[in-house]
Amino acid sequence: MSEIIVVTSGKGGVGKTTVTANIGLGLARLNKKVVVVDTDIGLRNLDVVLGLENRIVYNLIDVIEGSCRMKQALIRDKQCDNLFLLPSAQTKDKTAITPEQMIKLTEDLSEEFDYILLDCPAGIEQGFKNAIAGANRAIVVTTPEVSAIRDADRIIGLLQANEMPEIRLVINRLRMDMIKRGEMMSVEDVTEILAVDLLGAIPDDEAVVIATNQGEPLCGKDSLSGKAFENICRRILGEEVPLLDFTAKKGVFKRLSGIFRK
Amino acid sequence: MRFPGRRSSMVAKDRLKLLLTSERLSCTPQMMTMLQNDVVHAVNKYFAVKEKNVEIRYLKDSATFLARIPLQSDIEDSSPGISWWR
Repeated sequence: MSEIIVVTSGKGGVGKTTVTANIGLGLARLNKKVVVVDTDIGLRNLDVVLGLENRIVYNLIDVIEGSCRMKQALIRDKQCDNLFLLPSAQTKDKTAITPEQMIKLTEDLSEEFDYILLDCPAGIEQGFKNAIAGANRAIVVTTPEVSAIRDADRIIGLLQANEMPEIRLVINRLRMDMIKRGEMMSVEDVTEILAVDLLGAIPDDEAVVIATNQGEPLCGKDSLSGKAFENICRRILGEEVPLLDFTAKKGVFKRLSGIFRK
Repeated sequence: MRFPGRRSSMVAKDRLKLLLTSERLSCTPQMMTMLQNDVVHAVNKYFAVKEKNVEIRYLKDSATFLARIPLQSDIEDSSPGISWWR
């Protein structure tokens, strides 16, 4: 049976789409057949993060309404043959589909794919309800900021109320320098507050911005964040991977100065 | 309960704990502060409490309040006459 994972956050702008794209690519690189579905109708973005915006012909709504076959709407990724995108519609809004239609869609996709990743829109309205309807796992993305954590807590409550079987946390945009100074909440602080299992932590890394500019997710590539995303994917597959030490890979000089600071 | 010299991450953590507890229980943060003050007050009648370190949390799964109430010093010094059980 395939895993249907919804990536959600409550608050906008914390990195849901980036996380979805990178986990999708990472799982595909680990030889799983993966589809990433953009469920943000009216505000699609997963296509640009993956660099596939010029290849869209049909979208999610076309599939649901039966105006095209599933195969016609799926777009193969540039980097990895195992990864596909089902883009969202830009001209409709969230009320264009129902949770029942989403469940049907994910069931159809699960015949073809090992992993179905649903990129959820921000908010807790119809779009959220649609996105979580078909999922059997949830990844909650947050950043170490009060606003994002508050919304994540609300989302976790709603997921629990909807009896989501598994909820795991990804903490994005961590800055080790600020955490060391005590000016940013740490991974431990955030997991303690939200009290859900941690799936992974992503450092605030300019490589992510560059990758998004280029439309090529960086999962697995030689950067701290690329490595962190790869670790998340391995954990999703059930491997025990220890948390990455974001301070480690910095060259001799910084490492030395780190020792003296202690 | 806040101190100007405290690190902002600790301030954020404390604010969030209070806020999320009240949101999970759907009561106001003011009510939570009042509850916390009452608990401190009650314990303070018997033992000297480290008021700024008191923490009340709500555990959703078990519907339980968990209060951590650190004292100024060991109970035997602060409250003569009360024999402590260890």
